[in-house]
Amino acid sequence: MTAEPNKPENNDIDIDELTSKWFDSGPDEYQIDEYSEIICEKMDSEKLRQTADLQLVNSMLIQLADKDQVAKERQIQNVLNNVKNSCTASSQFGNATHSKFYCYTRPLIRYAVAAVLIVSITFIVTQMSTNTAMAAIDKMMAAINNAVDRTYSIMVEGNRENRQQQSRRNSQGRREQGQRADLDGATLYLRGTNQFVLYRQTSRDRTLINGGDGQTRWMIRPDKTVFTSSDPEAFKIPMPKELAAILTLDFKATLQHIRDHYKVKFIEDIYDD
Amino acid sequence: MLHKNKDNEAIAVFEILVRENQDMLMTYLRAVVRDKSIYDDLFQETMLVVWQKLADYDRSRPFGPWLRGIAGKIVLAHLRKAKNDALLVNAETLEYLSGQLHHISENSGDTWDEKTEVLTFCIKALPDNHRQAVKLRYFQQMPVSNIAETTKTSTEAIKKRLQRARSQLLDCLRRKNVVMEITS
Repeated sequence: MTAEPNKPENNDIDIDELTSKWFDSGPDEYQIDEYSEIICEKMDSEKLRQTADLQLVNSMLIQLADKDQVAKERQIQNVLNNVKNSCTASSQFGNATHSKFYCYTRPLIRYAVAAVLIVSITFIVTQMSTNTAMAAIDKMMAAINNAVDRTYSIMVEGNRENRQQQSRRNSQGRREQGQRADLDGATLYLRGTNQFVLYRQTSRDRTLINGGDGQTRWMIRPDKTVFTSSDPEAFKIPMPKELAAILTLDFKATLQHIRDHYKVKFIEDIYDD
Repeated sequence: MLHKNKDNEAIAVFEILVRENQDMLMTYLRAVVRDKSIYDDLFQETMLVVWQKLADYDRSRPFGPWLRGIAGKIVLAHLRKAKNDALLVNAETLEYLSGQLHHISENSGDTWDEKTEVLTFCIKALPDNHRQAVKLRYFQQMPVSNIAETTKTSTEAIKKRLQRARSQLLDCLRRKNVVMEITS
């Protein structure tokens, strides 16, 4: 049997001493003993209230001294950003809420058109004329202007096997084989000029989700922490090397770039989808 | 498009609520949580939950207590994980503090600063050495050991001054009816 440390009783508790420890000790000095949970239980209501009042005074002093308006404004903007990105949004104080899926996919759409289009245009090689392909790009750019929500299924044709082998060589020693998801078979939801959600499957048939709303990007992986970042370059989709250099956040500009600098060909069956 | 406009309107209204209650909620959080590094996390978490539950809010009742009710639950959840913060706080304390903050919010003034401006008067009324300790501790955010060094006093003496100063400020705020007297 071990000796139990002396537990404070109500009458033994010096509120000034206690609050002084709480308010004025530095992080290294601050060692609240194992009674931390007991103290409240041992105090009667009056002592608890006396303590609470001193906590209030301490807090009011901190608040009064806090003149950092920039930090205050940043705090509000963070709240608003969180609210805009939240997955269950109140609608006009009413009962309408959006499903989690809708919330995640909602902020996302036009960007990917560009990515899909880029993949389609550049990779899917067929025998259509350049003029038709140019017209297709023009239509895509017009579609971006119209802000139409779109869903695309991505098919990557060509030397896929070669690229997979290349990918394996590159990732050898860095990550487990088969973890990397391929764009082939991915589904892309697009909205506006900078919102997207991209679903990809790994070779183990698990789903990776990338998304962005123009301000925040996120990546959701199976059984792992969800990453979010305000860096527009974060969680880049593993595009083929030859495309990575031309992708920008402005899809319209990207399309224009492709139109101006690349030889493009048109794939009818993809476009019809 | 209509839906989006409604969302934007809701967010605009919510922003007003956040701005109106920011200082009050921070005062509440600072009263019950010791770890400075998580004030903002708790603030953000509270506001996000408030947003998500806004449809449940009974608009015939004051917003502040409802907001603090949510914040209190989040604080208690935090305290269960962070024992070093749990010393002086339990559900009763949270409820009591919420009542005090409600009382403060009914003081005259449009902003939290205006409602609590009596505190400035009370600080001015402190004895010189107590006022100096308060200014160095809170307004210049000096650790007690630095204050002791600056004022060529022992750390224990500074701690005592701060203790007394806070008690005097509390008495002053009670006299001015900014905070309520404890009733048994």
